[in-house]
Amino acid sequence: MNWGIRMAEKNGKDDFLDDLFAEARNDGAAEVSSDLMMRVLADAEALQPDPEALSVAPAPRRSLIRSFFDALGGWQGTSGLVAATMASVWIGFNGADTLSLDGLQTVISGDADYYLSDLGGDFVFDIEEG
Amino acid sequence: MPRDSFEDTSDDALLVLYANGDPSAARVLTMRLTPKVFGHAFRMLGDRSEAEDVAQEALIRLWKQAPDWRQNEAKVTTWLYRVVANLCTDRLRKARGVALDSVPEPEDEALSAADGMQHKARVHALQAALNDLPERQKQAVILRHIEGLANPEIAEIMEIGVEAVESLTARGKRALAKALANRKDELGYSDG
Repeated sequence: MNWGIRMAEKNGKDDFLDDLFAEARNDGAAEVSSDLMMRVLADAEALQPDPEALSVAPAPRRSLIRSFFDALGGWQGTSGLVAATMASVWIGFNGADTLSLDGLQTVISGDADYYLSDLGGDFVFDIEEG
Repeated sequence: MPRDSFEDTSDDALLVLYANGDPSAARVLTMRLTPKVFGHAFRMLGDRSEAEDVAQEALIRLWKQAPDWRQNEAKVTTWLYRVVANLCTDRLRKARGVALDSVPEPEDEALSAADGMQHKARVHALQAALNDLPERQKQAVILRHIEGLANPEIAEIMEIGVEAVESLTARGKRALAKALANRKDELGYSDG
């Protein structure tokens, strides 16, 4: 019984509030004015991205040096190439004395003759064995 | 203004068109979103002029956001309701201390004089009672019972769970009923 009364009170309370909510929902004062619509539209148009700027944005120009740089493989490729070049120069200046045949100069100048027999007894051509 | 010829186009898709420079998208979005944004701001603040400023500011933020809009992350209206709520909260905090009786009387000339008076009195009474609620309760009650949104969407807007929304709206309604109980007769509601 008490539960029934409480439910009836609750429903009455909800009906009353629901009616007030409906009044608020249909309230003309909550309708937007044409002036505000025009202001909002003006903002929308003013802030809209320009379609021409979006469609004809030119591709960035690439310089000749940049193209060459990219062809070498960018930073990584170029740095590898530079390192190899510097290593070659260093070897050129410091490594000549340690090379075999007492320096390449001996061979190039032709002051001495070298024969296959100079290479050692166990060096033979496979062709001789058939 | 042109009729909404993009009836089946979602707000998300329209925003992408807008960002791509389609002028019709700007018009359609303005017509579609402004009433919702203004209506919510008006009910949160109870003041037309303030609500218009909030609605305009919220939509300016949307236009600026359009080029970076990430589809399928949040509904446009969800995002907007969130922005409106934040802007309203800022204004309400600044205006705290203003008497609740200063809620302006709504104007509606379409109703007959007697009906119009009662309608105004009811809307005014509800707005004053809403203004007396804690902000989160007020927001939840407005979104659920006046804007007519579903609880899951309100939960997303308010960044809380659905159960928390139910709790906020229930407490809000109880507080409203209590606040308005003494004015039932005055507002034309009899207990019988």
